[in-house]
Amino acid sequence: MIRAEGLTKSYGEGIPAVRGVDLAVPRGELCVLLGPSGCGKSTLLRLINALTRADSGTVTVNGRDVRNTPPELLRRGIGYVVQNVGLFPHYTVRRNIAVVPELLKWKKPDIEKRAAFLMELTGLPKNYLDKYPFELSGGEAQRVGVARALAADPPILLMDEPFGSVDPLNRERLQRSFLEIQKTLKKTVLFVTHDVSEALIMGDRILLMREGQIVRSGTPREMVFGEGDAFSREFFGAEMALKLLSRYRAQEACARAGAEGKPGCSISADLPLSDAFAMMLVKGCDRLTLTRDGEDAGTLDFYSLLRFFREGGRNDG
Amino acid sequence: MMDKRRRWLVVWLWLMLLILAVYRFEWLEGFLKQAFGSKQVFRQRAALPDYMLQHLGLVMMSTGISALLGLALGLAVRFRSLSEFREPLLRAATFLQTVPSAAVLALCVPLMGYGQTPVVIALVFYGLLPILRNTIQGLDAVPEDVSLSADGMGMTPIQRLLRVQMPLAWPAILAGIRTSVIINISAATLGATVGAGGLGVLIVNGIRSMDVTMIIKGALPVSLLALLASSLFTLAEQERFRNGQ
Repeated sequence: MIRAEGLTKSYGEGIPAVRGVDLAVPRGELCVLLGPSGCGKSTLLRLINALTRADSGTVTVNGRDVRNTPPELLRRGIGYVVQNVGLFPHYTVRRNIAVVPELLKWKKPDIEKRAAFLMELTGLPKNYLDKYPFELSGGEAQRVGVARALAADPPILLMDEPFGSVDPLNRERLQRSFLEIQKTLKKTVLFVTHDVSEALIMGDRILLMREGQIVRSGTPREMVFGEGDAFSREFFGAEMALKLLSRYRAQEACARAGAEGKPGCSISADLPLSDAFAMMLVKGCDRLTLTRDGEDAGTLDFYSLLRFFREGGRNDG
Repeated sequence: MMDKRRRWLVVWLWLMLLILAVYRFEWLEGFLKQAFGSKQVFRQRAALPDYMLQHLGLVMMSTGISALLGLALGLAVRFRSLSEFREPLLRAATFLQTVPSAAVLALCVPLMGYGQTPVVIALVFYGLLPILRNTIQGLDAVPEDVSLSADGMGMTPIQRLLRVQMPLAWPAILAGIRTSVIINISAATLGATVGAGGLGVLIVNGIRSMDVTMIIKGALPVSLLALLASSLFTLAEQERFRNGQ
């Protein structure tokens, strides 16, 4: 787990980039640091793996004080993904993934096995191991970036706007695929973003930052249904409820079996609930037939959607 | 593959022509003497191959020192405590290159006497700028997030430099060394004026006696040497990956 107490960091004169931040991310939680650019969220992230040294305050990672650990050894135990991936252009995908295991002096066959496993996990074809980064698309490079961060199976992942530089369609795919990975691996993740929808979709918990301080924290539902101050309301925006919808799948709000939707009013059960809601709006129908693999999988009606959304999904609080 | 073979072919071509120009100059000599006449004012004291080896020695020695110095200085100014020397250093190196090499020699000789030392020093100054500049710029051009990733993954600063930054900067550094070698192959002809030998002896004597044949005898191998060196560097440049994203 990650714990920080009273962290402060300033660059020269003026308002500190991070001031007096207390933070605790329990084991297995995906915690999102959300805030406008310049709010200090990236600095906070770098204080965790000692890329930046705090002026005051303590950071403990897995019970060890960061100041008393050699930074290189500390970082080998923490996966790190940056916005533009930062893959090494002169290494193949295989060697990129092998960097930390090699630093940790793993044996060759173990590294090879791990690389093959990670390719499967991140949904990349195995023959990509021999490609160079310039041969990859933006989305593929991001996947390799995630695979590289997971290479030595660190218990902790720090992700600094990891999907920030890909187009919206690919970003959504990457988010979903990372959530799938997280479901099986249960890493302790600190995830930095300025994108409200990304925070609402990805986070188990969201920490809202402003001018170097954490001003609000809670689950995505608490963020949407709670009051919050003026800054928080403005930052999330009134339509954040719609964004929260995309956290769930249509299937989860399904009311009953049977296909009751009008012809044309059907949608794949695995699409986000927001897509289903959009379809109701566009087609003007209050019932949708959900389909899976071409078969009918139940019916979603408007009131069951409302009830589901108010009362909360099954997979979070 | 085809491209690789073509590069090798060019190397062999220049090498063959160089060997012919040095060891079989008499094939050309008769023709040149007919065309330009021959004065034979100066007696050629050493054989052509010896001049070429002297020449090659001057170039290799000076470029070697330039390369070591350029790399060391280029790396040194990356330390935060030395970063303020970066611009002055570049300016000094630029200045050294703008001073005519004849002037550098003229300054060195009174201090160090005749022979190879002043020439090597002049050539080191001369070849330093391209290597120093390309080392600094090559390292600067390594993308910020690539270096950041290296740190974030737990590389020590030395590992980051050797495994990531240097390999990425290497094509630029190599290009600097190439420029330096080619400059020095031609600049080394000046060595003749202070008794360092080399192919310049033939050129200088040829000019003094208006002996075109002798000038060509010295100049031809110099040109071919430069072409050979250039083709060798082309061989070493591999387009294995594209730099950047």
